[in-house]
This record gives sequence, C-alpha cells and structure tokens, in this order.
Amino acid sequence: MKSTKLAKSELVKLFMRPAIYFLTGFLVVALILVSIIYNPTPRENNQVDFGTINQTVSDVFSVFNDSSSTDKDAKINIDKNLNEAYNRLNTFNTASDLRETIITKIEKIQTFMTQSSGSGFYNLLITLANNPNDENARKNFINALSVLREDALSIFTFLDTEINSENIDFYITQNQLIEIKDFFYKLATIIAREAYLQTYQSDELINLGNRISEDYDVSLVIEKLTSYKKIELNQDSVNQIINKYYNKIVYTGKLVSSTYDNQSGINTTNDEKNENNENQNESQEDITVLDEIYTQAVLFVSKNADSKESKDIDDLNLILTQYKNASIISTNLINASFAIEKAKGYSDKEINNYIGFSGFNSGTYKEQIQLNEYLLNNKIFDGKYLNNFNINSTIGTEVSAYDFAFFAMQILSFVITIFAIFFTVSSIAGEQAGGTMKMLAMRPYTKTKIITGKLLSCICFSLMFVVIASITSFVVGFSLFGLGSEGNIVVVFNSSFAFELPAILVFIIYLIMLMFNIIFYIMVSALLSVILRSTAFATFITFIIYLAGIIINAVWANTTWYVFLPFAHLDLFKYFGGASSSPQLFGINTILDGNFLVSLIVIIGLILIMDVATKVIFKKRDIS
Amino acid sequence: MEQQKSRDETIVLKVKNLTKKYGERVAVNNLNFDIKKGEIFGFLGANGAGKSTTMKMLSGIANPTSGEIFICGKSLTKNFEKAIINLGGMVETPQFYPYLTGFQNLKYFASLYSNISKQKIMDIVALVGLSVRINEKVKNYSLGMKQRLGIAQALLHNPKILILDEPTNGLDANGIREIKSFLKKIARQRGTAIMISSHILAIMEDVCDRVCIIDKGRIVETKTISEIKRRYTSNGTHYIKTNAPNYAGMILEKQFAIKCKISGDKVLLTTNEKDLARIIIKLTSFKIPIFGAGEINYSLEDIYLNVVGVDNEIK
Repeated sequence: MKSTKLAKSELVKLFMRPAIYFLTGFLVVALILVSIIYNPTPRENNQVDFGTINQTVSDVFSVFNDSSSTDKDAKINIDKNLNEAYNRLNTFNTASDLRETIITKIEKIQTFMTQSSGSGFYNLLITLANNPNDENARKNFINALSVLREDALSIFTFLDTEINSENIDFYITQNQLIEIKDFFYKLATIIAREAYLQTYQSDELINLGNRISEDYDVSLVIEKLTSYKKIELNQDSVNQIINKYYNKIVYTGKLVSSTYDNQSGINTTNDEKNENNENQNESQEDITVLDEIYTQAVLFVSKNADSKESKDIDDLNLILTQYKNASIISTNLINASFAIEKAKGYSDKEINNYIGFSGFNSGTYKEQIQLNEYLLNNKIFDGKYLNNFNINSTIGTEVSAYDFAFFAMQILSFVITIFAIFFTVSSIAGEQAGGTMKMLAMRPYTKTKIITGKLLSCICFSLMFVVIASITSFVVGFSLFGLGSEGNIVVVFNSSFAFELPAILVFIIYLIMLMFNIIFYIMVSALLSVILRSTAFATFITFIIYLAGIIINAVWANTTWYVFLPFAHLDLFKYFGGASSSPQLFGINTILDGNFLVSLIVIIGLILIMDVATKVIFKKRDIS
Repeated sequence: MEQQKSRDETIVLKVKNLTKKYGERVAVNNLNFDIKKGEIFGFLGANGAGKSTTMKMLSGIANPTSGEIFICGKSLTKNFEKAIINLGGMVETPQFYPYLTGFQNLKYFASLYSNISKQKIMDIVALVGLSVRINEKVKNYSLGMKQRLGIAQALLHNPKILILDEPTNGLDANGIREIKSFLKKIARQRGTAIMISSHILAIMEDVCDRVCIIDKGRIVETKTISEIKRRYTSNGTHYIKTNAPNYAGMILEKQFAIKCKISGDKVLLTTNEKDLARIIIKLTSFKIPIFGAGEINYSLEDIYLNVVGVDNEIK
C-alpha cells in the first residue's frame, strides 16, 4: 500500500488526539499575548518638513537653502554629510598614518634606550656601572629611568586611548594590541617613582638597569608592529566607488537649463531632454542626481513662489525629501563600499579578529549596497525603503496587518514547532512504548513506509497549522491595524540581488523557509525516537536541541565554530535581507560568510540523512 | 505430483528453519511447520518456550535471525506487503489508541486497507460481541473487551490465517466458551486457518486440529490431538483409585489375568464399563477399599507434562 494512504490515516488520527485542543489553546493564548505586547516602531518616513503657517513656497525654499542652518535636513548639512563620507574614503590612503605614528614614538624610546653616548639610557647605565660611587652618575641615571618611565607610560596611554575602530589603519588583533600595551605597561611599572628611586643604592640601580636592558628589547615590538599589514584601499576600486556613488550623485550646482523653458510639468522625459541638448552646453552625463532634483525644486518654486497653500508646501517638501534621501543613498553606498574595501581579502570570520572589525559582517554591507543601488537605479527616493526590511519594525510608515502577522508568526511558530516535535515523537516512540506500533507492523506496509507515512502526516499537520496560524494572525492584524499603506518590500536576496516584491509574497516566502526549519526538527525527533524509544527522552532531547539552536543563534553567532553547526543554516529567511536587520526574536540574522544555496543544500542534506538513518534503524530493530 | 501441488496450495503458512537469537541466547531454534487452510493449529509450551517470539516473527513485529516464512506462498522477507496482507494477528495484549472509541480504532485500521466498508466493520463488531459498547473510548474497556476488539481488528481484512497469542487471556468462562465456538466457526465456515498459542490446555484440546509442542525454542512434536491421545491410551482406558494400588494390581493380574499399570494411587487398566463394574465387585470382596473408578480422561495437561516433563524451570 502507498505510504500516502498511511499518511492520510495517520493525519486523521492525529487530529483526533486530545492534545490538539491543547495546541489550539496555546496558539490562541499566544496570539492574544502577542496582540497585547505588539508595539513596533513604525518606519521613519524621513520626510523633510520645512514651513510654518504663513510661509510662502519660496520662504520654505530659503529655509532649506539657508547656509547657516543647523537643521539636519537643511541642504548645507545634507551636502556636508555626503562630503564627509566622500572625504573619509578618498583620503584614507593619504591620511596621517597611525601605524607610522606609533612606530615613530617607539623608535624614539628605542634610541633613548640604546644610545651609547650622551644622555642615552644605556650610556648612563654604563657610566654608573663604572662609577658606582659617583653621585652625579647616580642622579643622572635616576633621571634617565624616570624619563624612560614617562615615555613608556605615555606610549601605553596613547595605545590605550587613541586606537579605535574609526582611525585604525592597520590590521591588528585585540590580543596583539594587548601584548604591546602590556610591554610598555610592565616597562613603566618596574621602574619605581622618582621619589622612591632616590632611595635606591647604586648596585640596586645597576641591577634594575641591566634587567631593563635584557628583558625589554624594544626592537622586537617595532618588528611586530611593522609586520602588521597596513589597511590599504585599492585606488582603482576607490575611484570606481567615487565615480559610481559620488560623482553621479553629488550636487554640483549645474541646473538642467532646458527645463527652465519647459512649460509642461516638472519632469522632462529623456527624449525631450535629448532634443534640447543642442540648446545646452552641458551633456546629459554632467547632470547629477542631486542636480536634477534640485532643478525640479527650483522649477517648482519658480512657478509657485508666492503660494501659501499647504498642498504646494507639501509638494515642495516632497521634492526636498527626495534630495535628502538621494544623498543618504549615496552616503550609504560610499560607507558600505568603504567598509568592504577595508576588509578585502579576508573572510568574515578572519576579519572579525581585528580591531575595528569586530562584528564585521560583509553580508550586511553587501545587502546595503544591493538595496541602495536598486533604489538609485530605479530612482526611488522616498524614505520608506531606506532601511532594509526588518521584521521588528514595520514594512511601511504605518503598522499594517503584515507587520503584525510577521511578528505573531515568530512566536506562534515556536509553539507549532514544539507540538510538531511532540506529535512526531508520540507517533513513533510513543506508539512503540504504548504497543500500538505492533498493530501497525501487521499491516501491508513495509517498515520504511510506516516511517514515511508518519513523517508525512506530521509535516502535513505542521503545514496546516502554520497556514491556519498565519491566516488567523493576518486577520487579527487586519482588525487591529488594517492593511497599511505600503504594499511592496525591497528584498535583497543572498546579499546579491535586490527586487521589489509585494508584502504578501515575502510573507509566503517566510512561511516556506519556516517549514524547512520545522521539517528539520521533525526529522531530528523522528531519529531520536527510533534510537531512544522513549517518548520522554526523545522529546526532551529534541527540545533541548531546539532551544540550544535559538540561544546559540542569539548569542554566539559571531564565533568561529558557529558556522559548522547546523544552526547556522536553519534560518533560510535571513538570506532574504536578514543580514542588516536587527536580531529577530527567534532566528538568526547574521549571514556570516553565508550563501543561500549552501545553507539550502546543508539543510536538505541533513534532512535526507536523518530520513535514511531513521528508516534503517527502524527496520533493523524489532518492534517489540 | 498433482497431489503435492494441491497440497501446497492449501498450505497457508509455511515455516522453514526459523531461528531467533537475542545475542547469545537462542529463543527460537530451527522451527519447521506448516498450517493448512481451515486448520486450527495449536502452539503449546511453557512460558518462555518461544511461542510469542515465533508469533511475533510471523506477524512482522520481530525480524527472524534466519529461516523463512511463507504466507500463502509469498515470502515474508522478500515480499512483505503481499505476504502479510493474508495474515491477521493478535500478539500479546492488544493495544489500541485509548483516546479513540473501539469503532474509531477499527476504522483507523480498516483505512489502511482498501475497501473495508463501515458495514463490514459493524459486522465484525457483531461477530465478536462488542456491538453494545463499540462507541466507548477504549481506555474504558476491560481486558476482555480489548481481547474481543483485538480479534476484530485481526479479522477486518479477511485474512487467510489468524495468529492468536493467548486469545483467552482475560476472558471469563462464558467468554472462553464463546471464543472456542467462534474460532471453530470461522475455521469451518470461512476456511480461515488459525494458529493459537496458549498454556491453557483445556481450550487447545477442544478446539485444535493439530498441536505443536514447543520447549526451549524447539519443536518437540507436532501431532493431531487424536494421535496424541491414541499413544497414551495404550496405558489403559479406565482407572480404579484405591489406597492399596499395588495389592489391587497384584490381585487383578494374578486372580483375573488383567494387565494393569500403577500410577500413583490409581490402577490403570484397559477394559470396558461393564467389566469394570464386575472388577470393582471382585476387588471389594477382597476387602480392598475403592475411592473412585471411571474412564481415564486424558487431558492434554497429562500429555504435556508427560512429554515436556514436570521439572520445568523458568529461564
């Protein structure tokens, strides 16, 4: 007989279990709790909003253009932010050299310590050694010691305070830095304060001096520092970045003159612009994005300068918002590319060891780039898409049923998974212990088909409950919040492709990826059931593994051994734009050197292996 | 040749060199037997002799270590589904889903086959005598009711052979009587072969056509009931119970030239009822006290203990 026939009978039997009422009850309670605690921060709409009552359109424009303004939305500050990002990128290679600075400081100490003439430390030590009773020699040496102490301390302080993630320009790990800091700290502390030094006898001073000379070889430190590779940006890449993300966007003041003459509307089509090319000096390439937007604003103002209508003021603000957002997009692109350039040649795991790169996640930056390039290429300059899709905030600027459904499903899926585990274990280990499995053994189904049938029924059951829970969540969300205004989400897939999808499709993708997760745990519980044969043990251990997965994902996602665990691959939805979101409730969000295809293969592979193992073990062992 | 072939077609279960080892311990050792269509075959043995283990292997619950099982000619190992569909079984205490009613349990099992209608299920429920309480949850069933339900689930798909392990377990005297006539009925009317195991010999005696005695995993002998009884009746047909059996026996042999055997406090002899009366009068005249006399009722118990031995330790 076909295992689907058995699966159907098992499914019917499953729904007759009293535990189903518990499951429904739990879900209802969970949904109620979620409704109570759900309080998302709606997306910022990032709108520029200049203009008080009684101002004309041209007044508002002046406020925007006010070059002494401190308002973050004023043009002067928008342009400043963009230019700062540009400068950081452009001048990185030629900026002052932190590593050289440190080496120079240390070289000074080295010189001081090893100088065998004049007031060098070593010289004064020799002098004292030869004339231990010479009071002058003693005083001079004490002086030298104090100077050395000061210098060492100052280097230590410099290393301690001046190296941070912003200005680091060479690759050094935390441990390596500590080693060097330690060196100078120890050097400073073995030398007592001057007042105390004065009490030292000459021989004590000589001993101290010798110890210092022997144990503190500064040249080794310099060697180490020199060996640490400098962070250098490939100038070609930098130029590319500047070309793509700055030159084409930045405000240059060139206004599209043809649009001055144009009577018809704000936006001119490309065709019209090309026709007018002969009338202009500049070619199309010279007009940057910000130039274009600014021109629109100018044109609008020229038509409606004296209007005090709120609609006109709103329209102007809309254009100014576009200006601001286009600039932010450019900044984001520059910053993300900058970060990736600095980490070039290293995997995420490797680079995380270095100062200035801890928590570095190339997936996040790549997603940023894909997202912002998409917005740029499609001229989407309203603020709603500026931050990547994030399950803990909202899709649009208002809370919608989709947002609620996403959030609710995270909690409900936890409940559903627990019950899926429970039902799988019951259906295998439970029936074995309870003796009903032997009643199944006599039916015309091979042992393999028995397992297949049971697994299919558990998977079907989970799917049904996922669908029911989703629809219910959506309905509840709809009654609480309505549909909201935004329909589409820009999804970045695998940190490589950005595209717009309707929210409902993204939700369905989320549910499909959720099913992979649930099926994985069903397989784990089935395998443990046939091995352990005890309902209690199999449920307990699978539950522990599930919990461990959640906790490890939340806490240790950045460690080196994390990627070898299957947990690293269980949340497939993170590849749909998850890297740059803040951590989800019950899932990981960091794609660390990750790839959708790899994770998919790992999960499917593990599921298949567990499937085969379960069936083999079940077949070999007697049922009772 | 033809005779052989037709004989083979009526063989519903064929067991060849069936062995089951648990590690070093051999639980079932090289069993060989056949069961014919419509035959009621008894499996007789002490606890731990290997009865349940054998039946588990026949029903697909346990895997044989070696040997072969053929059900209606199909090998259980090579053609499991086609073989097992001819078999219905109840091995050890039948277990059901306690949260379902008796009917729902049967419906579930029926759904694993094709075309078992609700009417058919109800017919079988009537057959086992559970019609009144079939719609109650199984967790409220007594052991006897579960036994009946167990037989019902074994019959759902009209198997050619029924394997029943201790089917009278938990039944009262009435129930046992019902089961006996029930089994005979389905064997004769439907031609269903039945293999039952029990250690209650009274039932086996009444119901089985052939009995196989199994001890320490081996078959000791397989004979029809009449064959077994015939062998032992050579001891005598009647008995006389007295407190001086040896004296009585001597008198009978010397004075009346009647051959007899002594068994405990009984004198066993071959005779008929009329002659027995005369013998009793004669013995009484010799002042031999007689406490009882009559036809020897050879129970399977006597035979079994004789064959297997009284000294039977639990292993």
